[in-house]
Amino acid sequence: MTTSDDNPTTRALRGLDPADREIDQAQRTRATATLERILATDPDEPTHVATPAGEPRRRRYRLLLAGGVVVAAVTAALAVPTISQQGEAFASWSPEPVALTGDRRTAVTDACLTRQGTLQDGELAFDPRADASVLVAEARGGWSYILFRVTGASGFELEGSCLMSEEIVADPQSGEGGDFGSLSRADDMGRPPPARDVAREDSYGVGVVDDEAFVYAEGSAGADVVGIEVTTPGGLVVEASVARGRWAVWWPAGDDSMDNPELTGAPTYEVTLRDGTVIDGVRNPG
Amino acid sequence: MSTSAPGSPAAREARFRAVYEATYDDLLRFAQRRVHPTHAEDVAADVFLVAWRRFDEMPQRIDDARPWLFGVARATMLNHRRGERRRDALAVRIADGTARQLASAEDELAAYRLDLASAWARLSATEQEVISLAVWEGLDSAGAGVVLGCSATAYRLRLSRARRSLRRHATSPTSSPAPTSATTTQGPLR
Repeated sequence: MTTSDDNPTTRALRGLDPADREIDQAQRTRATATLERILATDPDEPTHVATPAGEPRRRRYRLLLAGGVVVAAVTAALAVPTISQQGEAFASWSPEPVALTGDRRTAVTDACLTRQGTLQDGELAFDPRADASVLVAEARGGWSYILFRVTGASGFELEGSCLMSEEIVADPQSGEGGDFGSLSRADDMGRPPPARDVAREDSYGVGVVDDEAFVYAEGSAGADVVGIEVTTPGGLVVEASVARGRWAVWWPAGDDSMDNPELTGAPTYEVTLRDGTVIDGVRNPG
Repeated sequence: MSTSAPGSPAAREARFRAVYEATYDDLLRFAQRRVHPTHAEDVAADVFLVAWRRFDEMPQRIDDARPWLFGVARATMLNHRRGERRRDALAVRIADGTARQLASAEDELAAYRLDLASAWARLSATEQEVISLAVWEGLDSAGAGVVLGCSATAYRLRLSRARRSLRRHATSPTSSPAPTSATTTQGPLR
């Protein structure tokens, strides 16, 4: 079931395949274990494939999706409970972020870069642990989030972020506890900064593990924007972090279901300006 | 030697094992091209779990099951985008470190690949996945149509347009080197 086309372009593209040519032994072992776990489930009873004991949770998606005018690709996943159940992983989540500073900020940034493997790869042109390139660093309960800008070895400006559990920050190599990361060309490259009184949504995403989800959004803030409050489709009121012309926010979203209003609806934003003016009811700012 | 009655749990399991072993590698590679490589195995596990639950819907022939599984994988990945922000195409990565690896190469093919890597970043996600299904997944038009949910004829038309677009970008005098996927592995190539 293969195509017979073999023109020069096709031949050249074949050499650019990003996928592994061969599946290595470790991958094969994991594939076999996955098969056995699947077969151990009742096909008539929806169940999840459990992570085997002692194996790092790798349940993190980052989907590569078409870019939109405003919305960029972002998706990740962790072991996330439903918000309605206030499960263990997000039990400490807070709608009000705490800015990370000093050693804690450095530790979170180091953990993020370790998880992404960028330090080992020599991928970045300079060390984003330098304070100037970390745009947002916040904690919500036991979860830490950073957003940074850096020039990649290719010369393109990149933007990276991580959302990490306490366990990951403490031991980034372990993979235990759940984390989410990204490093991609800056989504708003080539776009003018927003007007002074405007907050623009550059990126919006949903992360899912099994049937549980969280949502996050990032964007650019005009010079006069000092606060952003998000009302989620499900009615949560969440304060975004705003710093250095950027803003970011995330919240647990409950069941990964098309019936879940947190996932099918759109949040609204309330933007507070430096002079105290409040602009509310903003949808999809941009 | 033991045998199992058709339709029995044992026969179902044996059949599933056969499909899994014949298609796992291809499905993993399908995912590696569309999500960060460290997440590809999770996608594959999800897809096969779906296949196990929907075993009766899965085509019996391996060659037919493969595009069906790709279609499940694509739907699974797309399904993570919701509501008004939902998209109908998945961007496809191009080889890691392409520009760096080829920057010093002098042969014509290497130079052409560098040009193609740059052009790839300028394709739409729809164009990327249409080309990938033919070139990297190796599907014929009928199989690619199964993945995308369109007819073989519609797929051929899309492929023709996507190839023209790729050639146009690859020969553009304004082309500049694309970022390596090593630095964009978790973002859309645009």
